[in-house]
Amino acid sequence: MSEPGPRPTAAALALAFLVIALASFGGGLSAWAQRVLVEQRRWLEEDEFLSALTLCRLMPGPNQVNMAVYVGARFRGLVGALASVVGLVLVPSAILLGLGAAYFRYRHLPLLDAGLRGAVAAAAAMTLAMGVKVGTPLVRDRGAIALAVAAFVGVHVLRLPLVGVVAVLGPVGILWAWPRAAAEERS
Amino acid sequence: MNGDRLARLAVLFGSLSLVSFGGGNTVVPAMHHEAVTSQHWLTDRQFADLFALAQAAPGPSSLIVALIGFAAAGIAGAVVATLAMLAPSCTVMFGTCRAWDRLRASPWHTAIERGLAPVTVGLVFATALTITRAADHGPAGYALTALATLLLVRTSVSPLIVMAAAAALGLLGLV
Repeated sequence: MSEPGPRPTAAALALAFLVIALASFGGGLSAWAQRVLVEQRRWLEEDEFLSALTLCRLMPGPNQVNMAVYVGARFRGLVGALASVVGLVLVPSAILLGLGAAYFRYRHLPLLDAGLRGAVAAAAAMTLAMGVKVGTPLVRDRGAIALAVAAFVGVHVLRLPLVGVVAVLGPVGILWAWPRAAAEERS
Repeated sequence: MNGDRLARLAVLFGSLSLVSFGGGNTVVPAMHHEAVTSQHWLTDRQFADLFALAQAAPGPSSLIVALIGFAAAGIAGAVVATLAMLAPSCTVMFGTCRAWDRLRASPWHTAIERGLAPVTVGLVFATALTITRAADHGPAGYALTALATLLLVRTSVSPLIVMAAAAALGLLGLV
């Protein structure tokens, strides 16, 4: 099925997660991860990225740190996981500490505040746009639409816990995908 | 004194790391309790400000633990808090990835990936709407988010340009 792309080096992994982290001022980290890992670097197929994203949310730990572990381990084992996590958190934590130190000295950050309000609105747009992009291929498939709508309604409208929603819809999704997955295996 | 604080940071964030199912934000109330109510490392107002700062700054918002550690015990506190928050959950995640990798050749692997993808799409929309509601505080904010979404979906303009333009609108006081 999916052909294996070129296997990234540990340095390339660290750099990619640094780019994801730095681009995500205002938020929108997973949208940036999708853009960099799937669209630009083409390390992951869309389906793999999406299922990994849910795995990362189910497991304990910050979601995008888990994504760094997933992608790093996938291509370069332990070294890759370490490189990806360091790429994701090292520079951002230094920046954050600098901003935090400024905050403790000057009490507030008015200019940053105003600029951030705009950036945050755009970061929300990043996540919405990602939803539209990853959702578009599903539109032809009624089963996929039903799964996506059910997940949305469960979490957003009914406010059910994420783990419960995935525990129910995950197996349904696997049953739905099984015939084609098994058929591909045989061919 | 400082050694005590470092040990407390390590135990606190080390244990929160392992129970933060659903992402780092689920344990923010526990962090608040410890840092503000119980240990008085930060005031309520400072915690709220630093939380907003960590949300908006580049990188995972869970890096707020670095700021809490910094408030408690300086740079050493920031390092200890960050490592304690990351190491346990990363170890568990790494083990999970190894197990998952062993399934790679099986049709189960394909079926799980394909089956979870549409579920994730629904979850992404749920997240996007939650973020939008938290980010936008008026018609101008919603309009900016809508316009930016349209640009990002319909054109190939770089998101960095969209974000810079949006930040500029914020600085001009228009959002």
